[in-house]
Amino acid sequence: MKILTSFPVLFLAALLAAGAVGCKKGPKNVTTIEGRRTTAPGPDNMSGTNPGVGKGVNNGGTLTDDGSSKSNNVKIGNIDEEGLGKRPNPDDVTEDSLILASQTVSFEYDKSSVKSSERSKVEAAAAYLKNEPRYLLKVEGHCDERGTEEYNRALGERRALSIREYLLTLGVSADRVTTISFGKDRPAVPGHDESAYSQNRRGAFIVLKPKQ
Amino acid sequence: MKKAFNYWACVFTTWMGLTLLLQAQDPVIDIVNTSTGGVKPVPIALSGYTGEVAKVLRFDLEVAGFIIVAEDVAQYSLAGRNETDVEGRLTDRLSKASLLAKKYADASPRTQAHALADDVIQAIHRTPGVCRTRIAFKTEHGTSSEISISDYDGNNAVELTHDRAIVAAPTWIPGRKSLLYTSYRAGYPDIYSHALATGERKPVARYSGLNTSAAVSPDGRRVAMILSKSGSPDLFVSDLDGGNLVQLTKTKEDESSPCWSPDGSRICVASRVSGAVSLYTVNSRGGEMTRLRTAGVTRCTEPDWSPDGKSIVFTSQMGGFQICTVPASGGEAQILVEGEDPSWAPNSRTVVFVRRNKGQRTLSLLDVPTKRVKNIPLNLGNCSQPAWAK
Repeated sequence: MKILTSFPVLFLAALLAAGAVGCKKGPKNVTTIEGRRTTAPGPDNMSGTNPGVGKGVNNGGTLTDDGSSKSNNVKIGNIDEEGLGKRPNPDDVTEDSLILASQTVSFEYDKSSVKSSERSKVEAAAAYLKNEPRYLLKVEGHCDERGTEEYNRALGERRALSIREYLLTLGVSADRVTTISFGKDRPAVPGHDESAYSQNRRGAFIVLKPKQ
Repeated sequence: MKKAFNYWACVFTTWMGLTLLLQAQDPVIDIVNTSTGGVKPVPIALSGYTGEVAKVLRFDLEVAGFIIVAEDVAQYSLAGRNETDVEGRLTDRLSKASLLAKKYADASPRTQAHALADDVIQAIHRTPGVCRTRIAFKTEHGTSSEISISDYDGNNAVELTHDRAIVAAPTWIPGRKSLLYTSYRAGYPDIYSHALATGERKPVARYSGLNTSAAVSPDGRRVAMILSKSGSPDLFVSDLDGGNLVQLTKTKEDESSPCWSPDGSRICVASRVSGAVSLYTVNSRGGEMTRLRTAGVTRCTEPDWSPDGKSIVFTSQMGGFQICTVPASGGEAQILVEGEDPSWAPNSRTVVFVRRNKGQRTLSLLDVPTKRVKNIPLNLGNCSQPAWAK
């Protein structure tokens, strides 16, 4: 549980670093900017490589400065106000896509619900998380190439969220599971036939191991 | 952009008698062409042009619903030269009337040719040409993709982003040289705005889950987008900087690809709220979703509202993908051509879209009235998600 309790601390640290903390009222009522990451952001991989581009993308801690800070509040913690898990900072974790690779969930064409035949895979992922309480989980949603692009990006997210919802009913804590959709941008296999399509319609589990 | 350079107008003749002539003209383009089901292209002859200028004129006019023919069967004749600057005289061959006579200067031969084509299109169609407009699109590089911008015909393409991540769903801020797009550069799909002049880039939405499919309102002040922070991909609207976020749909199923009506009052979005994905409109300040009737086609996504407000172009998926239009108030859908991800030009006539051949995707231009298609002939790599600057 170490990592879980350390997240709020990291969050506060990030806010302080960004110099955007409305802390005057005390920690209870810290006003943060909705949508801001809970921890320091990833590296700015553009700086230096692309002059003139990305100047406005700083370290992520000062996202949408005045515009949204007036109107939006988010609770400090690992769950945002709607109950989605906060995104862990990619710098703070090591991604392991192999541990649960055999539990990749497959989906029916154009469907986002977890089939009953695939539930055991989600249950295996839940059991794994129970045994590894320090680890977090990222669920990737993917689609075959037959939908249109942004439609698939939304469908992939819906698939990842369906898996996440099932994980939560199995007792996995909401703050341990984040989702990401790749739509049809990251097929598991190339090819343009049903065999390729069925392998590409998937929800993959990426275990996030906190760095010490 | 249209007046990016100065040109001398009307060097040797004037527009005398033009009004009378146009009134007398037969509306030839209203005749139905049986081969495509669209209206007939307008036959025009070109003479005196060489090299790049000839190529540009031919391409521009073909995209705009003309067909290049021999002098004796042409309705219009465009004659001129381009040894130094581009010159052009446009004549109606039936009435022998001169419709246009201009000489261009102070720009590259390519730009001068585009300007002449725009003037010819204006003189005959009586709507502004789009030959000097720009598009943005997604270019794939293996497992990542970037955003590129180019002239509408694919020339002068420049890669705008260098994120080495998935970058997708570009859209222009109307009237400004700025784009919004989705980038996974920080590990997750987030929406950024990007000013072309300064290179300044700002995050617009970086909530947990999905942030994508940005579309800026015609007044340039608000952003419609798809976020999943509520637990499912829903339609949201915010200020251009991401502030004052409002959730417009609250379905369990997913919404995608919003676009704005030209008056900014409504947003059209694809949704699976009632099973198969179809198009809906919703008041941009909130309200019920209303299904847009698209009789004759199913599985509709990727709507784009025409700048004149009359028509919505979208992709229907019935086996393959088809580019379709439907009146903005709903009704009978018209299937135009195989393809996906359409985006209207500012003239509400031309559409840029994506053609797929197995894994390879290329950009094409569709003239909606004639249903004629011109591929962008340059090899721009694997391209998708074109967005026409308006």
